[in-house]
Amino acid sequence: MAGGGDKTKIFVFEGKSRQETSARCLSCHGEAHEQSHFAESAHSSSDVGCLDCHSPHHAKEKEFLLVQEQPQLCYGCHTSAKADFAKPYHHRVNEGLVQCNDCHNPHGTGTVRQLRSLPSGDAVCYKCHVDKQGPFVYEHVPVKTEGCTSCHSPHGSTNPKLLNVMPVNMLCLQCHTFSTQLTAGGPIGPAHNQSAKYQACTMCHTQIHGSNFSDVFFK
Amino acid sequence: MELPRKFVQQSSLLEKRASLRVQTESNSAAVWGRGKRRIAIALAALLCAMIVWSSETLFAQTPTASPTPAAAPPAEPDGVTSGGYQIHSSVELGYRSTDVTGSGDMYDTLVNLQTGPRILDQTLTMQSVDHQGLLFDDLYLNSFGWGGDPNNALRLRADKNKWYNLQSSFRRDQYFSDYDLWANPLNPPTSTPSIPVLNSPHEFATTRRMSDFDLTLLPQSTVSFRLGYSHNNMTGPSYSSIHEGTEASLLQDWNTTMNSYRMGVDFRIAPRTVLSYDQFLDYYEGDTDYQLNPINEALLPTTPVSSVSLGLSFDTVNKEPCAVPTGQSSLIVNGTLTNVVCSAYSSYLRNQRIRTSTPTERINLRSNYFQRVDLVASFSYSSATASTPLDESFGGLITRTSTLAFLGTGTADANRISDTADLGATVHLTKHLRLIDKFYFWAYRIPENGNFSEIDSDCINPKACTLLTPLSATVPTIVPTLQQASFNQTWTRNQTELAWDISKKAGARIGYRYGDRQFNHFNDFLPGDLDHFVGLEKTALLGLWVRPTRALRLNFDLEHTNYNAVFVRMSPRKEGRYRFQTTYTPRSWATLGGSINILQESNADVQTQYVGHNQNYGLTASLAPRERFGLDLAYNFNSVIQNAIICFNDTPPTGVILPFVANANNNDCAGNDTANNLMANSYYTNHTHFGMAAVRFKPVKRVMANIGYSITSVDGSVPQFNILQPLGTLQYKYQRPVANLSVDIGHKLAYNMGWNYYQYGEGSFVGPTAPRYFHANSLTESLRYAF
Repeated sequence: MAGGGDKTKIFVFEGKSRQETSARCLSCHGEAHEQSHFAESAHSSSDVGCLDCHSPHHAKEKEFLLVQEQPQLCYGCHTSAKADFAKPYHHRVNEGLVQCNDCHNPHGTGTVRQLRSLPSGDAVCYKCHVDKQGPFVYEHVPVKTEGCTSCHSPHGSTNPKLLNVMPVNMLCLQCHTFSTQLTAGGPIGPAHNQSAKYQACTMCHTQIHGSNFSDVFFK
Repeated sequence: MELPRKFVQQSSLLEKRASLRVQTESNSAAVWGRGKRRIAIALAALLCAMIVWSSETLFAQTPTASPTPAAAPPAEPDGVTSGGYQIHSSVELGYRSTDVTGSGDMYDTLVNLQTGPRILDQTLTMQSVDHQGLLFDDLYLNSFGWGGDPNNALRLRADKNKWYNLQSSFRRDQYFSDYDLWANPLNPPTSTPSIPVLNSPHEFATTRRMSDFDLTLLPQSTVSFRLGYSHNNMTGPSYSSIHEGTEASLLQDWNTTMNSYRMGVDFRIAPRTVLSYDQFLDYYEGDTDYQLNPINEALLPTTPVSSVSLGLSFDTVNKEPCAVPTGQSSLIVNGTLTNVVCSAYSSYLRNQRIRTSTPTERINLRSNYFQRVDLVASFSYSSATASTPLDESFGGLITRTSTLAFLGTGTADANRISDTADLGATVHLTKHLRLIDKFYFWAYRIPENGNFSEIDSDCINPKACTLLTPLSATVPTIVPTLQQASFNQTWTRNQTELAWDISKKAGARIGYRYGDRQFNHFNDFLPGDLDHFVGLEKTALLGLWVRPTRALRLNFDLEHTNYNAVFVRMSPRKEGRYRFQTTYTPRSWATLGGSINILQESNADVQTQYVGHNQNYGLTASLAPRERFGLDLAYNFNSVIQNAIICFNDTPPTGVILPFVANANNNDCAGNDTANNLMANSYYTNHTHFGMAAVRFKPVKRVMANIGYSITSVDGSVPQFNILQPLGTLQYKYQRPVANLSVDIGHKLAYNMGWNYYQYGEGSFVGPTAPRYFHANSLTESLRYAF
């Protein structure tokens, strides 16, 4: 080189594989907690590297040197998420209130779907929905064992409250029907005449995520 | 009779919202200096004010929340250099006017963009030219939605090389929810009187404010420190209900707060090896109170005159809240109750003060010390303690138990003790072959204790118990409740994958995931009173990626899982996930994408017969062949089904035939659940089409325009359990045309105009409530100044 340096010591990204370029970035950035799971991440395994989302020299976004702003950057591959967030009931991602990386860590996590979790191991949902976390004297056990997604679609839904299924009483009945498959027979159904009232079980069972005072989640 | 409730409910919500609007609009009258430096100083001062005060009254909202494309971003301005910083800044001030026809509540539920002045967007970036800035080298500040929109946020990042790194944000979310079928008892028109419920009994108009601060000190040193704080507060009016004889409407004065504190330290104990310790403390305060919302009131034939609330459910044919007495034309005549043996409320109050403290410790190790091994491991221990007193009182009549009043007291305590560990290791066997292992462990137990006492005032003579019976004619009955229970779960999961980069153009991975979940539920700690479940997960994993050319990329992933047992009926015994994604960039100005996501679930148990899927097929195209023209297209089809056998109880009114009920087998459930003797295969089918098209063009040098349209079209089916039950959200179209215009008027100013149209219409009958159809025009005009 004109200045007398050794050109071979310059790392040239051109022509390198995603694994090689990512390894180069992570030689510095890999020490951070946020990037520590990248090697095991779904992105890494799918040949998505650092330069697919970041551009050190030509970033369009000043924040984190992203090649495109969130959520459009994520929508580029995850097109189904784009449609989900366009549904009438959705987390306010398009509006800018919530960002994809609030719930997911694009660099990987210890759990599946690159989902973040709270330090206690609980679902990331409780970071905002703090009243649902408990612990409660009367836990609605599936909320803890099966997770929020057993009833809700977190990205977006065509149903209110991001519910997977409407009407509410059918959603409830699908679990609350006797089954000898479950050790204790499972939860039996309600003795309510569906034609008379109780159109929505949650009209009475208001504290369905857990209650401190009622074993049937009335209060 | 619906007017009192509607008046009470809506007036309180509207007052709240009006008060918010006045606050935010008054705050949006900011004055901006004309000089570049003056604007930067003003913005910096504003930033300081916001950080110091964190006053939500400064924030109103308005993201440029158009659901479809916003105007093309202007070219990066030159900025100014001042005080050793390269400074860029922009601010956009405007006015939005909204006109809604139809259901305003539904518009607020889905859109909620209202009329008023707005600070639509604001950005400030400052970069030290020589990295010798006094307080910071880089500063990035962005905020939007000031002035009254439902969502607004401020995000700030600042760093000083080697000294600190700060990230913080403030977000506010005004949540309005009034989908009127939600928790609606569907009061029939055959009731006398007929009182439909026109608003959701569980209406919400709350505001959540969230602040996050994270500061890293000495980020590049051998020892660095982290400090963090988060604040989450949700307040506002909302409504709930309580069942005591009949269903009363309750004003639910929401007030919850979570304060989270974080501190940690990172030790670089060896090259490329960091050991971290973190201490977290979450403190939750739940101060939501409940009191009677006196809807559907009727006078009692007493002197002096008093009244009771008859609650939400009104179906006198089915004796809700009670039957019309013989010889009377209605349950309420001239405002007076004709049947005094009727479940009703004269008062209800419930206070709680939930306090939950959750300290958590975590230790974490991450290392690339060995050239061929990437390692990350962490362990955390958490112990949550929650407690709350019970303070509940009721006055009225519960006919079933002849109770005229009760008083509830006691305490509730619960704990959650959890251990979490994860270990990830990637071993680079060769340059192209990697072995990846992820281990995850999560165990928790939740012991619960409740010790309550309810003192009921029951009529001495139940047969003569009415709303007119004095409390002196009752006898106290003490009902104690002692709840001692616990449940715990231990979940272990290990995933091993072998990843092979065949070449720079293709790669594959194959793997296996094994999970072991054990669940114990103890009731009252009595011998034999124990549920014990063990569930094993076995998952095959496969992934392929191909980049045949620089322009084309294809990914395919497969997960196929078998579970040997389920904890709840609707969990699958078999689960398949298939995902295909492709992007094709034939030209620098053209990007095409496609995706297929399929989730299949089933549980073949003869008493369940659960079959479900969520299939998603999407196509996108983004084309910008010329600087003056661009086109974005997207289409997505989503199919969801969830079918399973259910047992239920349903007796339609005389003369009404509901096919789902009529075709149900009326014997198969009775053996196990006599109260629900009908058995049928329930079905939920939802087909959602989403389409979007947007054209961006620049007719002349200084003008940029966008025209777009998007539609979400839903069609589906569910069983009809009740003749008054409409399909509601199973059949509707939601359309959103949009148009934007941006004119560069010089002097670093741009005039922007945006028009959004929203139309929501359901395809089935409305049901015994208010129509949910609406359409709305929203016009936003603004000036953007940027340098």
